[in-house]
Amino acid sequence: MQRLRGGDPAAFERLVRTHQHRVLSVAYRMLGNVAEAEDAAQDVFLRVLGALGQFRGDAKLSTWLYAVTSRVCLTRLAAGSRRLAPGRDDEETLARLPAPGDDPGREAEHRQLQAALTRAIDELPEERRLVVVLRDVEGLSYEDIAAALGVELGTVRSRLHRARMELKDKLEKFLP
Amino acid sequence: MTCEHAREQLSALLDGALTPDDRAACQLHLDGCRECAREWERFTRTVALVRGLEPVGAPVGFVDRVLEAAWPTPWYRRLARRLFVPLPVKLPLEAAALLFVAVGAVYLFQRVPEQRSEVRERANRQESSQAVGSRPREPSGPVGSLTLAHEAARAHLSGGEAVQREASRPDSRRSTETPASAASQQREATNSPTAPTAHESAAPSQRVPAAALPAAQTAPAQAPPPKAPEQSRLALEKAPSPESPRELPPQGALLGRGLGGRSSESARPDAKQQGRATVSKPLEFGEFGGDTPPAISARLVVQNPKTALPAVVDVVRRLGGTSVSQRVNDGQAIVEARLPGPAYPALVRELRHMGTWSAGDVESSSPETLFLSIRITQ
Repeated sequence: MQRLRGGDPAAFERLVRTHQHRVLSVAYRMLGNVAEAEDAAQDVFLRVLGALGQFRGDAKLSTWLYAVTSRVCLTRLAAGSRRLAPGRDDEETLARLPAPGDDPGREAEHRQLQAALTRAIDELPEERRLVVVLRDVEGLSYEDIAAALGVELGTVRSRLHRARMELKDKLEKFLP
Repeated sequence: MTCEHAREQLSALLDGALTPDDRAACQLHLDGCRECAREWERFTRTVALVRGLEPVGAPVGFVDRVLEAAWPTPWYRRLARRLFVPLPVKLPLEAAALLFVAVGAVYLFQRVPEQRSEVRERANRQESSQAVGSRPREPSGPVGSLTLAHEAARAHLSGGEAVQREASRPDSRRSTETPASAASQQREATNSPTAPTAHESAAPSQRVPAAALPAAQTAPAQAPPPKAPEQSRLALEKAPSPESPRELPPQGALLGRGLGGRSSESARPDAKQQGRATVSKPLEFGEFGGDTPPAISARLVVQNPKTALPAVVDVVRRLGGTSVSQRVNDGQAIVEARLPGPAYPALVRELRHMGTWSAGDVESSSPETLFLSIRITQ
């Protein structure tokens, strides 16, 4: 941490390599476009580099990164960044991390489900979208989400419940 | 617990965020309510699907791009990286490209002078073909007088002796004359390709100056022709300037009877009688009667113009023509000759055996006589 605060390039490079997938995943789920997501992720790391001197260390570094990422994404959405539906190219551009238990026989059904899920999340309101991404995609705790977004714990629960209920209604045909 | 209250607790129940009492009450309700149980099942399935989304990762090169944005590489390092990285691939490609450009530059450099000289020669050919049979031009300067005087001096030499001397002379600068064509030679000399120079720069005394005639006449018969021009030049120095025109004997008197001692002799007494010379316009074919022979400007490319010149002259004479003038300069030789029209095809055939022949079209069909200006080059 001290080396990071000192602006050590090697330390910063290690930081980027460690957290690049998380930051880019949140940015992609929020913005829906690979180019925008990469641009936003780069912006996140550059802001982190510039603000490392102000980081007190009372929160986890990852939580701080999520906070910066959330702010950057919400700012871009508020500025009117067009949210494009992710196409096949986007899926191929992004590195697909291996999922356990891949079954080639169910590939088409699986891809259809993934597309429907992505579309359903994309249609959520921005604040609810962010919460469900941080909780169910990234696995943050309620407290970390509240700290990252700077909101109350009850707000996080409420937004999360509403987001999940909406997703349940949208994914009707995939549910028993 | 009501269904509505139970369904409000589903998210917290799933995440284990309920107190033990709230969790027990909610679980009890779900066990007793089929609808809520079904709702709970769909809810958990939805969250499982979202949590099963394929994780996405950063594309290749993302870290490098972030580092580049954070600490931009100096432009010279970026340029060097673009030029030479990867070295085993870019270096050979760039070396090959440089070699290609160098070879192309050398080729163009060699080609351009050749093309320029070719264009220049073509322009000269056109000028010479235009000069032959052109309208009279205003004389100016003493150079033209020099040329005419030179031609007149040569014309004064007896035809037969001059021809034999010239034929035996190895020098490139010689003229071939016959008595019969002396008069026409005078006319040809006037309108030869060198005539433009003579015409353009000749002094008003385009006519052979009277002083030049005696000088040429007195030139010994044994004297080599190259000296005749010198004598003519000397005579020219004594010749009157354009400001003091002199009258010369009628040109017909000079040429109608052929050049030789007679014409000059007759000219001298006339000149003496008249005591003055007048400036006259340049000589032309038409002034002395007879038709203007068609002119052909040709080029013969050989290995050695100097050695080819006598051979060309020989061919002309064998075919019944006469060589009016010959000269060599700057690595090329020029022969001006008159040739019977029917002999032209034979001339072309023979000269094509010597080198590459190129000539313009004959101006008229079946001409009786042709005037040729053949430039022999390498």
